[in-house]
Amino acid sequence: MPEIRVSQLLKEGESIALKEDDQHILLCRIGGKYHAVSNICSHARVLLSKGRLRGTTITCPLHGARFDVTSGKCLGGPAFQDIASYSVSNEDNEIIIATEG
Amino acid sequence: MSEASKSSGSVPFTKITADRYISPDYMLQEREKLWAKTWLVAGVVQDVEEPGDFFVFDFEPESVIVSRAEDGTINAFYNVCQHRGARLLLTNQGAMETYTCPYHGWVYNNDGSLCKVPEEEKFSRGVPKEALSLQPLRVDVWGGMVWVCMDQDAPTLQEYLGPVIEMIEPFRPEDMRLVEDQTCRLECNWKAVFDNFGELYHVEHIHPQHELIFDCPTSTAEYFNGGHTRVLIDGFTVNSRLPIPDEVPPTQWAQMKTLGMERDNYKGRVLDVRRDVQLRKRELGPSLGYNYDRLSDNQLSDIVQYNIFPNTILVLQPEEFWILRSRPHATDPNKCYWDKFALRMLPDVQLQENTKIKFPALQNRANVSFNLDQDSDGTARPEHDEFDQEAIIAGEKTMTITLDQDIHLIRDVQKGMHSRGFKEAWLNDDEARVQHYHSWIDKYINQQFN
Ligand code: FES
Ligand code: FES
Ligand SMILES: [Fe+2]
Repeated sequence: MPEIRVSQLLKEGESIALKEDDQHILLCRIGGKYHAVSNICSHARVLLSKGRLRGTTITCPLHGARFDVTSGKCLGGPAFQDIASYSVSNEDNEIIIATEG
Repeated sequence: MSEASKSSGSVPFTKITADRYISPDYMLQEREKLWAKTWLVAGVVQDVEEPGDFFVFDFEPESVIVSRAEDGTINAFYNVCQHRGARLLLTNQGAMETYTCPYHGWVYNNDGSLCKVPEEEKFSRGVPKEALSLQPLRVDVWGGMVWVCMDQDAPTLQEYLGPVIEMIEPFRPEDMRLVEDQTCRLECNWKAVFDNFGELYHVEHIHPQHELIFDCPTSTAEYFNGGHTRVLIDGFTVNSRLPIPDEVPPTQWAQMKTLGMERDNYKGRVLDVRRDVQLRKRELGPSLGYNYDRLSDNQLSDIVQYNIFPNTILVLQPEEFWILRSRPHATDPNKCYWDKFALRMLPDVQLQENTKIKFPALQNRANVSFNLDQDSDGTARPEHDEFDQEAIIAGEKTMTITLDQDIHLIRDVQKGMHSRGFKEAWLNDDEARVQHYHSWIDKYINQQFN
């Protein structure tokens, strides 16, 4: 199973953009847990990481579509498609994101 | 508190005929003379807590953006791009630094100023950025709510609400957190649902459960300048017009239990409960994390409802606050949107820790008010849930039993307005709040305030 390993630990409420082989991923830490979703808005394909995270919701910085970063679910706005969400595990000082191939 | 309902003597008489509920012409008059002149609750302050936060208040055919700019100020703008009029934001809330119009990509800062126009050189007559910034409307904050007004000449929000402000402040609504955010699309005029909350005459007929919690017959109504009203209803008691039951009704036990008044050990009679609840709340308030200092004894047990002209109802208890709001439909006077925001006071952990009395059973979910049955504990903002009235009637959605019962009935009242067999409403003294409300509707429509 393809995966991305990240050795940088995030602060609470922090998020970072990751890119590996054309794959854009948004990694967030909320309530002590890590969540990873696609970093590309399903509306017009801008990077969500430039948007603002409140609780578990990120707002797309362009037209305001909202996504739940714990599930990838689209919560409204001009977008209607969910974004991919990836399972994340935590090993020692590494975060492992299981991505699709 | 227990004096009989005031009579309608002081309330001017208004003929309430069907046209005000069904006529498209009347609807258009309201748009110009009522909606454009009054202060309206746009949403809750909680939704614009941090810079960049915004929410959209849809008020058909208008749509308004309320946002907190980077400098911390709260602003309100019409949600319409100044290029060719596209709707700027299609989402109902969020946090953004800039808003980009989905049509040709004009970009506005979250303080409303126009900051970027793609291919600006194409505008040979120039782009006057200041004039083409988002169009503001008046905005103010009070009671945990954001209020907007489209009229530059209207009085201030403080003047508009008058005595209501001081009456509500002891409840500290601004300290409560949202636990529920619902909208039901109703098939009735926006005033028809509002009228329903202007009288208690219907309660014995469609809300039988209230007999065993409230005493509606001894309620007191008050009528304020500006069209607002208030009604006070004794709680933790029973309907005094009916035989008093021997035992404390089961409907009260759930709340009493959270105050340590157990079925097995409580010695009081049915009519003692209200006073005992007041005493228990006074005694245990801090250990439950509730600061009741600014509230009177009666406010600890009773329910108070303010109808704020023209479309908002505030229902207050010490631990819970409801904002009910009706919004008109853009084109059809037979439809409206009925919103419910439920907020709750989150127990203050500090207060709990500092008190000598320990009341361990309750943690942070003391259910001492009548309606606190939401799933949310107020730590995360609930998602907005919007549905048709059919979903309520089918039992798929609920806005609480009481509101559901009203919704079941209200569409048939609207149908009645279309009947050749109906001329005008014939109101009684208990419906004086409806009368007062409509007399103020008339003042606005006729633009005669004396
Ligand atoms: S690109 Fe994200 S909302 Fe349009
Ligand atoms: S209408 Fe907004 S950019 Fe053209
Ligand atoms: Fe009712």
